[in-house]
Amino acid sequence: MIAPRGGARSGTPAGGVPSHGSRPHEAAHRRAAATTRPDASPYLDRRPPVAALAPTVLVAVLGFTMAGLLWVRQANSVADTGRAIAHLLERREALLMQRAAARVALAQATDPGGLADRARGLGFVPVEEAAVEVVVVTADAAPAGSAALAEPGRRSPLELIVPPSDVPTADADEPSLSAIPLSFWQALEPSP
Amino acid sequence: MRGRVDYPRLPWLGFALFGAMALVAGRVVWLSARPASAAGAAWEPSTEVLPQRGAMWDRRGRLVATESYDRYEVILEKAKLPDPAGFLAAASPHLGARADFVRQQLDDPMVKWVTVFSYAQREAADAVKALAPAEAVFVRPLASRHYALGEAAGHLTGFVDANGNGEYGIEAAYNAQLIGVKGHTPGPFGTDPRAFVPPREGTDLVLTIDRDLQLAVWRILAAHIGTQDATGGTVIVLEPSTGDVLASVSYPAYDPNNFGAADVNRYIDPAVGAYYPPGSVLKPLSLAAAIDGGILSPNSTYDDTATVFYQGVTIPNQDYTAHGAATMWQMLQLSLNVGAVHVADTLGSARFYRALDAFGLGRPTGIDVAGEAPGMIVQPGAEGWVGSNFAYNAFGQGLDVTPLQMAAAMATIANDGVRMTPRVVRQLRADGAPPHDVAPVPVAQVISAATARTMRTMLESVVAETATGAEMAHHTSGGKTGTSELFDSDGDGEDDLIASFCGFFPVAKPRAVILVKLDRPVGERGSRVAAPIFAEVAEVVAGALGVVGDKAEGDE
Repeated sequence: MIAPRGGARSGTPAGGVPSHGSRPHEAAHRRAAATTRPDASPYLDRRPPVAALAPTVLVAVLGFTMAGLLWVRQANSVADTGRAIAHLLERREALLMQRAAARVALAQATDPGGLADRARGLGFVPVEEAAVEVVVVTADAAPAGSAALAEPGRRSPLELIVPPSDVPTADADEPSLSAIPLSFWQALEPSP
Repeated sequence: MRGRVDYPRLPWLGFALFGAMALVAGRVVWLSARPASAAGAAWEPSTEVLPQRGAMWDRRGRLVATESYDRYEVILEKAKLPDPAGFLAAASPHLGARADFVRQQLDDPMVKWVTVFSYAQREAADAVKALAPAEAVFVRPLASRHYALGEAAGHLTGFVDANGNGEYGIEAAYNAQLIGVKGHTPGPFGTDPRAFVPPREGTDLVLTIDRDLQLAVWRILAAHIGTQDATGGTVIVLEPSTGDVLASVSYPAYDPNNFGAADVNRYIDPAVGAYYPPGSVLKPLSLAAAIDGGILSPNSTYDDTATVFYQGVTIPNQDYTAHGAATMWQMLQLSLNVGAVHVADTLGSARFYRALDAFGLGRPTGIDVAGEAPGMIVQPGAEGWVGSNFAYNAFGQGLDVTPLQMAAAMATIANDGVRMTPRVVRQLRADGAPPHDVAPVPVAQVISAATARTMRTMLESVVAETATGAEMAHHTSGGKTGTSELFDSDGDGEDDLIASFCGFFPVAKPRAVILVKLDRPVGERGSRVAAPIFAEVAEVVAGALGVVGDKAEGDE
């Protein structure tokens, strides 16, 4: 068996397929020699050298493509999310403005001076304290015979909130409700 | 059969492809796994996302201050402006002092965009916008501050300057909480969501003031300033049990909605940042210390001789009358200076000044507004001290306190001897967090509860006997008048007077302490000028708080 020169130069084992540097007649000679080897693959030995690297290149191209697709997908997702964020920021700013405007409008609508003006415009006049008659209402204990009304499930909400035993009784030392001044709103009237 | 072709560099191509693939894969993994903050830091330049400044609400949840977006930036694109000279001529009336700047910018060939207004009101922005083609002018709303109470609470709220920073009052004291935290995006065209950091909105504040009460007290003060021809005045309403400021108004004031138009000297809140000699309002404090220390009792007597000579100076009673054997009741009711010197002398200077310090005079109260002044009390041994200072200080002259210090000291008596730190914010509402209640802060038990009750009874007698103008219709009230002198502070050749009254109601368990101070009123004496204002304000406060009257019917 003759060891090919090209194989030795290219570092391939003896009897292997040289990848380059062979002359046509030498290659034909080596091909003929290879076909005589019992363990040689006729298919491989007939492939051109570029075909031997094809799987590697294919894997690389596929990997590159997949990574690129991942990149594009990622970038697309990022762009969508970023656009959504930008949109939400604009929406947020608009809502903040609307909220601020609503707050200001509410503050102006509940301004005591403004309310007084509107009331006057509607024909109301400030109340004089002397013109107010205060009616003091005291909650007496339930009269006899009314127990029949207090059936289970039919108790009045007020009875639950203020049981008769907790109702304060009139006391001579206690101040009367008429002592609550009315001048708070009067003070909000524009000074002359 | 074709000849075989060799590709000697093909392996290197394979390696290159593998390398590129590894780089792309690595970059994808890096982008996916990297934390957002690191991603954001890598982007330059970034665009800030400004948070909205926190609002202020009163104790009943009504608006006091908020962002309003009613200021505008107006920008002009010169290339799309057909007649710059004509535009300038038409816009000049609206531009005011800015007209020269705009003219200069229009004439400068290097300038392509002209900022006509950087912070204009709507009327001006609309007027200028109407003078230029729509494609040449850009109007952008800017965040600005709206104060619902205007000048009625300008001193208390402070304002926000053009840079978005709080100045004076609550705006400055709580600027860090109100301003929030800026967010940022990768830039005007950046889309990386990992680089987006959302803003944290400013914290809302719930104040201790009552909006309607603040407005009502403001109107009362303004009316009396007018009728008394006073140069200024202050009214403070405190809740003694918590230190809550229910209302605080001072005159002259400024409107924080248009702070630029006001004199800068008005920005300081006189309630916390201006000094005045308290006058006779101080007398209950030294007497309380003497009674609490067992040195004097309400019925202790002294020989009132109309004047007292002390360390080279003669101190007269305000009525220049000798009252003979006078009790401490009389000393307070008649506001006898001779008696006040007696009390201070009996107490001793060390204990006297220690008592003033314990009541919080001469030092900041710790209220949560900016610009609080400490007051000025010259202690014995300090530079400028002379012996007669002690005698003057005994009846509230020769020392300077802030109105809030005086109100807080009276609130100590009203709160059974416990001094509370005044406060104006009762709750913080941060973005995305549960509300945080600000707890009232007690400072010290200055006098015993028994002494405080005794003092309240004595001060009630002051209202009943002499300061009758402070009487309320349905509520018991107590307090002390004060008339102090300012040495020709306005340069008109005459000493000026400050009339004041500091009191509380109801006497048994005070719900409010009210200090009234008028500067240079025509009525002069505190009992005649300030006491009726106290009563008027107190009636309003009683209505606002729903305080039921405690006077027996026959007492009215």
